[in-house]
Parts: sequence; C-alpha cells; structure tokens
Amino acid sequence: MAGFFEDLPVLMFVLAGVASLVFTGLVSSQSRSEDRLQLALDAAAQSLADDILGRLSLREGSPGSLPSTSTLEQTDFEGIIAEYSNGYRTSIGLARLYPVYGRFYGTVSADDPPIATGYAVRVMDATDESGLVIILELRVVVWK
Amino acid sequence: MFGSDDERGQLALLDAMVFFAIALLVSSMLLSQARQDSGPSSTRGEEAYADSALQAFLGASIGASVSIELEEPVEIGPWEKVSDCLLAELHSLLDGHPIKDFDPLNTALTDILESVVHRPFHFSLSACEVSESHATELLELSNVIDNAGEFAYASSTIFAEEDGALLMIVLQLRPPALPEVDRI
Repeated sequence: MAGFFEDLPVLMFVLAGVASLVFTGLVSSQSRSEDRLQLALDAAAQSLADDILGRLSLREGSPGSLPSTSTLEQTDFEGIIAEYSNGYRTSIGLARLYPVYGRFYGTVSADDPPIATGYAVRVMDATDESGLVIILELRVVVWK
Repeated sequence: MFGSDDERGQLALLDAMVFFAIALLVSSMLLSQARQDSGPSSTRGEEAYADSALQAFLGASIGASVSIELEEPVEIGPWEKVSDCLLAELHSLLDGHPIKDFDPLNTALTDILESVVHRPFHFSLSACEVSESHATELLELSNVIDNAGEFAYASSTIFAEEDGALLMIVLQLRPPALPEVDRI
C-alpha cells in the first residue's frame, strides 16, 4: 500500500502526459474534419453556380447566349436543386442589380438549421422585355 | 547498480516528469499547427466572382441616356453596350481627347460598377494600352478608400483592335480592412 502511494506521483505525470496527447489528437482531427466539410460545401456551391449559368445560356439555344427574364422565370430551379442533392440543403436566389435593384427569384430545398454552409455568387447578364441587357446576381447557398 | 530504493524512486519520478514535459511540448506544437492550418484556403470562389462581375459589367447596357460634349455633342442611348462605349472612350483618349470630356460617361460606368460590386468589397477598374514593352494607363474608375484591404481579387480581359492596339481592362476587388468589417 505504501508502495502504491509512493508511485502515485509517477502515475499522475504519466497519465497527464498521455491525456494531453490524446486531447490534442482529438482537437486536431475535429478541426481537420470541419475544414474538409467546409471545403466540400464551398466546392458544391461553386459547381452548382457554374452549372446553372451554363444551363441558362444553353436554354437560349447556344452556349454564351444571354438568357431572357422570361426564360429565367420558366426555369425549373427546384429540379436543378434535386439533381444536386448530395445530402446537402440548397438555396438559390436571383437578384436584379442593374439598372434597378430588386429580388427576382428564390427557392429553398429545406429550412433545417445549418451546421456549416458553402456560398457562391455569380454575376450575369440577361435581357429584359425591352431588350435591355440587365445585370443579375446568382446566389447559391449549400449547407449541411 | 541503480542504488537504493529512494534513488530508484527519484529516477522514476524524474522520468515521468520528463515524459510529461515532452508530451506538453508536442501537444502545444500540434495545436499550434492545427490552428495555423485551420480554415479553407481556396480562393476559387472569389476569383470566379471577379471574372463574372467583369464580364457582366462589359456585356450590360448603359441603361440610361448619356450626353458627351466632344467636337460635336454625342448622345449615348440606354441600349448601348458598356464595352462598346468604353472602347470608344479609350480610342478617343488615345487620340488626345481630355478625360474630363467623358465625365458623364465615366459617372454612369461607375454607377453600374457600384451596383454590380456589392459591399463590403471596393472596386478599381483600370484600362490601359499594352504593348510588348510597356502599358499606358488610360482610365481608372474606383471607389477604393484609404483603409481598403491589401489583398485583391482581379480579373482582366484584352481587346485586340483593328489597328493592332491591345487594350486591357482590369477589374480589382478589394476587401475592406478589418475595422470596417467589424462596423458592418
């Protein structure tokens, strides 16, 4: 018994050292896991934004063509979101920037609170009813 | 060989203390490294945003009537493309026209950029003639303020003119310095 209490300080130092190493490993792995998730969400948002821009120009008949506001109103954004589920929640928004600022379109796949979010913004041209080339902003938010 | 029990006990305690010190040192180094590496480092999104902002700006219509007084009054209609108006201005500047003659057009172009580039970013659009040996700046439209951040995302495009001149247009986006971010 006396020998046990004599060895107690040695045991305490060894256990404390092991505990610090284990704690550090847990914190580092948690941090890297969060970073990987954030990068994956950002990449998903960027890919979805680029894909939407490509589809909008193709709907006008040729790559690089400007979409019209009437075409945008008829676009099935919810169907595009369904194709890009990947287990993530998605929100797409279109806003008029110039010549008049205002909301144009928005849709959300779910309203679950996010653990982490990815975000992508693209600026695009479109033609309005009068033939004027206006500027729209496409906002894509992906979250888990 | 290792002396009495007391000496062996002291050696064991010393070994345990050394192990604990080394474990603390390694833990602090790993935590410091994890903190430095944390956070996504990709700037692909910001660069793509700068590219799309420049292309959308150049492809848009002026959206308003603009009058310019050169040798004769010039009326620019709202359906004129920004890129066409900008290139015409650059050619006039190369021909020696003073830049103040184009203040109404530059004001309209700056208004468009203010709409396209959303806060808290500041923009700087510059246009220059480039050759093999040098570049001559012709025009700059900017809302950069003194405490704008150092790092900038940029996009550029080059127009090759019929007379062989190369005109380069560069859009730089600067994030604000940290105090302005806190205020926002």
